[in-house]
Amino acid sequence: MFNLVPLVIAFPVAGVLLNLAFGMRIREPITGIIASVMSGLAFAVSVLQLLALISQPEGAIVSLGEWIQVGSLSISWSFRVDTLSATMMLVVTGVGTLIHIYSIGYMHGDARFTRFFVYLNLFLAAMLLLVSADNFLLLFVGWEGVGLCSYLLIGFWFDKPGGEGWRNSSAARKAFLANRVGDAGLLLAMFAMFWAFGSLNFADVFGQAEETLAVGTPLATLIALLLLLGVTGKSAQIPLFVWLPDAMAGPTPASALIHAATMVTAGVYLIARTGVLFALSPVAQGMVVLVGTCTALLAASIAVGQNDIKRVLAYSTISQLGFMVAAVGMGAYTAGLFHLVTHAFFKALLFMAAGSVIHGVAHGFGHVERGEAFDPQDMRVMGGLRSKMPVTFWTYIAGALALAGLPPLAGFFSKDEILLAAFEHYPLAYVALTAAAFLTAFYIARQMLMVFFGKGRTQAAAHAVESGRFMLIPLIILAGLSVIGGALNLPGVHTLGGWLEHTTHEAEAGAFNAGVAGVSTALALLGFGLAYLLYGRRPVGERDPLEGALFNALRNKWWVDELYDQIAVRPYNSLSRLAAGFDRAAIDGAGLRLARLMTWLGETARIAQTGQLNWNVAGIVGGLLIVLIIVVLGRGA
Amino acid sequence: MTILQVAAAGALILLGIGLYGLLALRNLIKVVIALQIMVKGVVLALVAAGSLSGQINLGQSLAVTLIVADTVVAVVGLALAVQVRRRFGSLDVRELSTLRG
Repeated sequence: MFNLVPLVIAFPVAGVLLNLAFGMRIREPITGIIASVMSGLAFAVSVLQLLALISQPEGAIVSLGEWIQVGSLSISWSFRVDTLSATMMLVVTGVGTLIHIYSIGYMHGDARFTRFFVYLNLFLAAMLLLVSADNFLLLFVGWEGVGLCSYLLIGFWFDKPGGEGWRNSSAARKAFLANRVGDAGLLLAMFAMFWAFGSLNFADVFGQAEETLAVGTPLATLIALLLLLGVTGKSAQIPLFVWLPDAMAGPTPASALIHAATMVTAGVYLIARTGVLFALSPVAQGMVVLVGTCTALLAASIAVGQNDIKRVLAYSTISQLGFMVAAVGMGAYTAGLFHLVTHAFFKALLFMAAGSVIHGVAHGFGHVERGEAFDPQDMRVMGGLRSKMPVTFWTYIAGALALAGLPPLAGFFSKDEILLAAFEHYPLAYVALTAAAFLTAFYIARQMLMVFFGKGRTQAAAHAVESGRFMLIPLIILAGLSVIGGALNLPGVHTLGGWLEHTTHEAEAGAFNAGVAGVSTALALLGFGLAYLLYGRRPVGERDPLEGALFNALRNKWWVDELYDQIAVRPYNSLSRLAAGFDRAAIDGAGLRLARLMTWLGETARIAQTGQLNWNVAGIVGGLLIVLIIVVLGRGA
Repeated sequence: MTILQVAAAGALILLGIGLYGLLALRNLIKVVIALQIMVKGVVLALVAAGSLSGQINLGQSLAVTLIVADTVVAVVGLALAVQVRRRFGSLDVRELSTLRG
């Protein structure tokens, strides 16, 4: 059974190749169906792995042969099936398949329909390679692959008119560059590991690290901090989180798949996978908790001040990733991964429901108000969609309540485990994370009220229509998962905890703490109530009820982008201009001057070449004389 | 002054005149004539050299051979001059250089 694991990657790759080869010749929905079927087959293989793991929970390593063999460096195409990677595979392929199906509806009529599915399948293949790799280099291939697909999908609509295409491709570049910084950290961590342990295989590295390094050695801290840099890039944590909100320029299914459910959780997976190294460095663990907690709080606060429906969700994603990173930093791997799984359900749901809303509002706009500037993602133009789009509304409610962490939905259990772990080990982080949880409830309630309640504030909202079957069925399935997802790891039963224990060696399973759960639930309800008082009773117009200095700071994202512009982008541009000047003056200049010298020499020598008979004779005679003089002088000497 | 010295001086003078003609003259026929004058200087030198080395027969036979060869040169040169005159409409050697650059 375990030997089937390469098929998990092979199916999406087959989808890529099929659609690349025949995509131009077959009709629109077929390419999407091919891609979805391939994704579904990968999910089926993942389920087989799950079944195999139940009887043999220690898992297996499947090797397909050597890849690189240089000196003492030996890298093989080997895949690791264990409870951790199988969990990730199930999430990636399961949620991924639903998003593929949704995309068939969402991308209907797009000129590059087939290309979109090629990218989605390619992303799945890279992501599955990332989670199933058995050595760091193979993991890195997947890590880079998902980054590439993210770039391609953010800039998918690079040719939209009116400067929007340019903004889209700028967002793609921004994401790629921010990821590059993180990738450099991961690369350096790999160099350090190879230097210290002479291998990049997980088993060798972790085994040697445990044997040779004492807790708190600088080497362990260095490796762990470099890994953390990689995590901050891919999982959008402070200081590299700025790319994720801009990544919303991509098509909404891509945002749901890559920038909410799967790719951005790669960092959480990486920390869980390399938990051995982090356990050796309390300093690095503290840093991870600090980064995660600060990100959770900062991003949650920014989400309050946004008016773009997808941007709210983007900052929400950053904030929830902060929760996960903080959790795995505390060593609470089960809590972190539990939240990863439930978050994949409800955030993919929220994004796709938001996509459905955008679709509906844009459709409503298509029937009225021609010729005006109109942003179908702006929540201020919505309102009253509850009755226009009932299925979207109810699934959205499920996702929002799960995100806010109301019992008994999925988010309640997973978030509470994180809060519990923080409560027991890091009291300060507990306070900050609880505050972030309160803000989460507030901003998601604000969003629901602005989008679905009250009256339609524009004709577009009043004429919005419900989306089609392809889009609604995945929403309903994910809504169901968001409601019952908590059953994966109920307090006292700890199915997921016992399952992951085989891989992460995490002994403690936190007992349910009614106080922690009660406080967070009460705060979530308080957030809902506050949002209702501010946004639910009066129609929200141009002016936000929270308008003021603080809200202005939130709306402007605490000016983080401007800060980065000042300290990174501008100095870099100046340096580039300087380098360009040097290049033109010195490097190119040297070549140019050499060429001019040669030209001048040629012009000068040309004077002698008259082609006149008399001059030629003079030349011959002159040469003869020189020879004669040499001969005569030579004889004399 | 021996006869040999006179012959050597005569050969040098003929060479000098021919060389000057080659350098200074522009008319193709005059150039051929200047070449002839130079070759005559060489013939004189050959005969004198034969006499000086005692191989008079060798010197004279070389001189005769050279005269024959030189006649061919003169004929070809004059034939060229005719063709040049036909094609370029002038005998001026400066107008023969069609290479530009």
